[in-house]
Amino acid sequence: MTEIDRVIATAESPDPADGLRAASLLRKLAEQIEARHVSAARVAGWSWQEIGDALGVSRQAVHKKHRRNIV
Amino acid sequence: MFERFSREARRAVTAAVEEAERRGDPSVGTDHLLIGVIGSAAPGSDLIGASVETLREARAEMDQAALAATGVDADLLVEPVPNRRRGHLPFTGGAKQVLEDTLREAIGMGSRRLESEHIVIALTLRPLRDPAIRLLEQAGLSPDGIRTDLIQSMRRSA
Repeated sequence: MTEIDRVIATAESPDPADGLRAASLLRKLAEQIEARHVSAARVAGWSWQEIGDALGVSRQAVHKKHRRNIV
Repeated sequence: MFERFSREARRAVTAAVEEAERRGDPSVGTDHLLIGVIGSAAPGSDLIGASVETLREARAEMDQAALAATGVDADLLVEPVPNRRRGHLPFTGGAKQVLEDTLREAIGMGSRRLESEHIVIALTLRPLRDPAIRLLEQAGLSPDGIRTDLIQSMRRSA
């Protein structure tokens, strides 16, 4: 059983309150990590295309999402 | 509807938005409204019987427990990163409902203005699974007790 299988299996816990809260926290964590590293990549000279490729999304999607947040 | 809010009630809502921004949360919920009322030292907030720090701790405990219950390493929890997204955060459905109920409470109590006390009363009337109710209970506080105390205190000062 892989780590992610284990997590998903446990995620089917009896109390949905815990599962939903954890999902929301992890989404927020992923968003924070993404924002931080997109910003770092731009500073390091990465193009939007390169960042999009690395994230597995289109250049347009990553640009639209992050252009305002880049300092 | 905000034009009928007292200055203190408006400040409490602003503080709620700031709490959500500070945490990097995607929307303003009833839990943020609760913390906003206390954080802005709005009238009636002293009767809740908890500080902003207490409620933030209670929320962190719930976060840790939720991650543990889902089998995720709780150490993943990072410090809140402020939201840098521009523009207004949306209110959750529950938070919108609280603002509407605040109006109803104010009218029901014969008040022309929407006071911060009415926000607190509306928050204590939320259903069991509401984030603000869960937060109060995690902190060992009784929503019904808070509402009773608050209504009594408002009658005394009326």
